[in-house]
This record gives sequence, C-alpha cells and structure tokens, in this order.
Amino acid sequence: MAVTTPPATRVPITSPPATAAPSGSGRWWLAAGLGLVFAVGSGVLIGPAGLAWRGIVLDIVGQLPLVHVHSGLSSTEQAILWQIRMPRVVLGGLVGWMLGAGGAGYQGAFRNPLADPYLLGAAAGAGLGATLVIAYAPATSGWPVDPVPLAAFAGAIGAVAISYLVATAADHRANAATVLLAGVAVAAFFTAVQTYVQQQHSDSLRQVYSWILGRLNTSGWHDVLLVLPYVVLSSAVLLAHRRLLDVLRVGDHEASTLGVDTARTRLIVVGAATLGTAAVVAVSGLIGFVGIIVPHTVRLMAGSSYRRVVPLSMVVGAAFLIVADLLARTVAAPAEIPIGVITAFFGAPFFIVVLRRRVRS
Amino acid sequence: MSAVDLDGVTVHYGRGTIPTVGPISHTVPSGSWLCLIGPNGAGKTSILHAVAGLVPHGGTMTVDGQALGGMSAPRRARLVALVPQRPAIPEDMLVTDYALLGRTPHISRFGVETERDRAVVAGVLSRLDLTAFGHRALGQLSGGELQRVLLARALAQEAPLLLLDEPTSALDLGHQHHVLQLVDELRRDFGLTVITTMHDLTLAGAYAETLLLLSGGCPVAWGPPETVLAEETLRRYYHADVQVLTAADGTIAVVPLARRGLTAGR
Repeated sequence: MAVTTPPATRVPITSPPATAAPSGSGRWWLAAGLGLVFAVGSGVLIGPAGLAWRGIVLDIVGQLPLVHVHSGLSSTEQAILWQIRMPRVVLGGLVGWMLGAGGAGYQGAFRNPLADPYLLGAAAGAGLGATLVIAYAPATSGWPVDPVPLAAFAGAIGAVAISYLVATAADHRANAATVLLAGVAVAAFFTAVQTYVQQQHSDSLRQVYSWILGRLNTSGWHDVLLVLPYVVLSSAVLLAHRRLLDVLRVGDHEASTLGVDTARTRLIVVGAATLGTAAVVAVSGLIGFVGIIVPHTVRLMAGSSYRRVVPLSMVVGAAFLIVADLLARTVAAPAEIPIGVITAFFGAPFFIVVLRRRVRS
Repeated sequence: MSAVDLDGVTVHYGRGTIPTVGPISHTVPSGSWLCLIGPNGAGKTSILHAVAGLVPHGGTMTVDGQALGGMSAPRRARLVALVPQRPAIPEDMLVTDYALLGRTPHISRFGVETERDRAVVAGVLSRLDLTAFGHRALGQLSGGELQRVLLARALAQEAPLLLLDEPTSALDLGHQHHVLQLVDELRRDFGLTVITTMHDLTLAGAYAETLLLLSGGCPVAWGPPETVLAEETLRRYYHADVQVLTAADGTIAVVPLARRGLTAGR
C-alpha cells in the first residue's frame, strides 16, 4: 500500500473520509446467517419421530400463501412437526439469541471478559424461585399458570435488583467493581438459601436438579409466545446501546469526559439483559456457558467492537443453542440429555479450538 | 478574549470543610497555553479533572463565556477535551474506531456516526500523520504513536479547550519534543486553548506561555516562564536544589542538582 506523504500545509479538518469499512464484517455476517439457517434446517428435519425430509419440506412450502402442495405427512406427523419440533427449534433459537446478547451486554457493561448474564445473581435468583415452588407447592397441575417459570423469572429479576440496590447503597456512583462484588455476594446468598431448601426437601431434588440443568421441553407455542416480547424488547435496547458499549471500553472516567453517563448506561444495559435472560431462563432452566462462549467466539472471529459483537452474538447464540438442543434430544434418544451438559461438553472444546487458532494467527 | 475563566475553583476530597485544592482564580486567554506545575500532590491533576467535570468542585468555570456548572455532559464534552495521564487502552481496538470515540458528544444517544463524523476523524488522523495507522490495533503502537492517537481522539471532539495531563511522561526525549511541538502547532492551527500539567520544568518553560505553580493545592506563583522558573521559588516549593540556565535565545533549562558536592562550583 502506498503511503502518501502528508502535505506540509494545514489540512482542513474535513478532508474526505478514509475509505474501507472494518474488514471482514460482511463475511462474518454471512457465516453466522448460514450457520443459523443450517441449525434451523437440521433442527426441523431431524428428530426421533423419523419424519420424511421430503414431506417436511413440502409441508413447510405448503404453508406459504398461494402454494398448494400435498406433503404426504399424516395429521399426527403434521402435529409433531408444527406443535413439537417447530416450537422447540424456535424456542431454542430465542433462548440462545438472548443468552448470547445478554452475555455480550454484561461483558460490555462491566468491561469484564468473564461476565455472563448470570453474573449479578440472575441464575441464583431463578434457581431459588424455582426451587421454592417445586419444594413448597408441588401440586401445581391444577393452577391456571405454571408457577415455576413465574417464580424463576421473579427470582432472577429480584436477585439482580438487590445486587444493584446493595451496590448503590455502598457507592452512589454504582462503580462497576462495586456492582460486580455485590452481585457475587447476592448470588452466593441466594444459592445458600436454595441449597438449604433443597436439603430440607430431598424428595424434590431430582426435579430441581433437572430444572437447573436446563431443558427445552415445550408446551407447543405457548412458551415461545411467553418469552418473545421480552426477548424483542431486550434485544432492541441492547442493539441501541452497542455504540455506547464501545465507548465504555475506555473506562468510566474517560467515557464520562466524552459526555456519557456511564452509571445510567450500565444500569439500562444490565436491566435489559437481565429482563430478557430472566424470561428465557424461566422457560428453559439454567443453560450455562452460552453467555460466555458465544460473545467470545464472535469476538475472536469478527473483532471486539460491540457494534458487531452484540448482533452477531444473537445470531450465533441462536444457531449454537438449536444445534445443542438437537444433540441433546438425539444423541441418547429416546432419552434426553440436559442441554446444559451439551452446551458445555461440546462448547468448551470448540471454544478452545477457536482460541488456539486465534492465538496462532 | 478570555477562553477559560476559573473563579474560586475548589476541589474537595473526603468530608473536610477545607478544600483539598484551591481556591484558584485564573484566566487563560483564548489560544494560549497554560501549564500547571508543582510537586506531586499539589493538585495539578485535580484541577484538570475539575474542569473536565470528573470531580465535584466549587466555584465557577466558564469556557468561551459559557458556564460549565450545570451543563449537560455531552455539551461540556463539546467544549472540553481531556487526554488523561494513564488512559485505559483497549488493545484490540482499531485506531480509527478509537478516534471515532471522540465524536461521542456530537452523536445522539442511540445514533451512529455520520459522514461528517468520519470526515472529521479522517482529517484529524491525516493531520497527525496517522492515516496509515487507521486499521492498526492500539496494542501494536509504540509509545509515541499511541500519544498521537490519544491526541487524535481528543481533537475529534472539536472542543476549543484541550487538557493534557502529563502528555510526555511516557515518552523518550525526542518524542517528548515531537508531541509538544505537535500540540503547539495544533493550538495555532485550530485556535485551541491548552492547559497541561507537566513535571519536566524545562519542557514546560519551552512550550507554555504561562506557568502556574501550585503547592499544597494553592497557586503560589504564576506568570511567564522566566518569572516563575526562578531558582529560589523552585527550591522552596520542590524542596530540591535546582539550577536555572538561560541560553542566549532565552530558552530556559531547569537542571536538578544532586545534593552533595555539585553545588560547590557555582
């Protein structure tokens, strides 16, 4: 590349802009998009019921307006496709989308690569909420709404809110490190209470344990519609803040000399990420590792700017969780492996490979 | 016209009623260079931070006739740009992206950079000979290059007042002069008012038009370098033996003397 000699005279401050957008950004979008299409495709096509692929494709095409084809699927098979497989793939996508975005948001808000959406006690709070209901209100089948996700949602939001209140009581500027430490303390406390309750009600141990490990057994489209508004709202807020998350990377002090209200920005980002995370955790249980591994994988491949990390983490998170769920329900079929086991078991080695490649190059 | 007016500015740390720094009243003419000097802990950085709005302060400050107190953070950032002494460097951020952060006060909360923002940054990078570095990560830069990139971010703010906290402390002899010369040129080119803190008194005297000597948080001497950089004054406030040499062209060099023996020959 030829480097032009700078002119000796004063350069007007509005000289033409430097060309070239950040390199490789489009390439990663394409890769992430194809990954999601592949994940959705295999999630819909593969399952223990052994539906014919041709029938599935024809049935989906047949749903398009003005298209009339006969798929050859029986009504039972159609029900399996539309009421079991589809909602499960979509729910998996939403959960992964949200955990990826939430992880990116938390990491940006706290300038901490180890942050994940559970950092301020969302997981511990959700766990306690679910455990309390399972232990003290075991006969919930007659209730109009399932109280377990409700309690998990409230627990997650409550724990993060308490973390924030504790932190601001100690330090009114809500310094990142103070909030983080408060979160660690609150999470430990909630976990302690949950463990105690669990010990006292050992008959519910198995149920609590299976909830904690995470699962995507859905009741049709109900869960999808339940979490969708939260995921949409949370994603919109996180996407709107992606430029400010880049500004926060220079630290609170410098960001405030650039005119950014750092405490408010952090509160909004954490609030949005928590809201979405609490909603998906309420229906899926505590699926671990996604919130850390997905944003980091994105960062290692497409660079560390949050303008790319936030949206790409959504897409990659969705694809990752759909594939993880596919493995969870097929590897040991007809039994299901908890999806949290899959995300860590396959995610960790994959992450190590990405890390090694990055360090070498 | 006075660009910066400090009137009874104080900075409090802790709960005491006596201000840690100040009260300071000083006027900096538009387009001039003021350097705050003084021993460690004299309050130099505190004053810069007060002007930048980083620490709560008393008194009033105006920049170009606009009072900074009660001003919104983005508006203040359009008037005052600060290059901190120890900036937080995101090592994998690209030079262009970093300089673009300086446009933050000009961009609405959820907005993105406009063509004009990119043009301003491109202009600044070109002015600082950084165009070829645009796609380099900050972690790959040398100390001198990094100092220019920090300046680029501050200039991208297009603020009339530029605050530099110890801009040369991490640089070698040649780069110290290079950076200060650059600041001096930028000041003239863009009509900036510059306030710096500096430990190196020779450099401070060579570049700043006015020096303000602080001790224990209060101004004790101010004026042109040849007045402030007097052996007696420096000895009293720095508690060190110094020799002030003046060359034929008026350049002043402040030489610290080791305590034993060396003063005998004078």
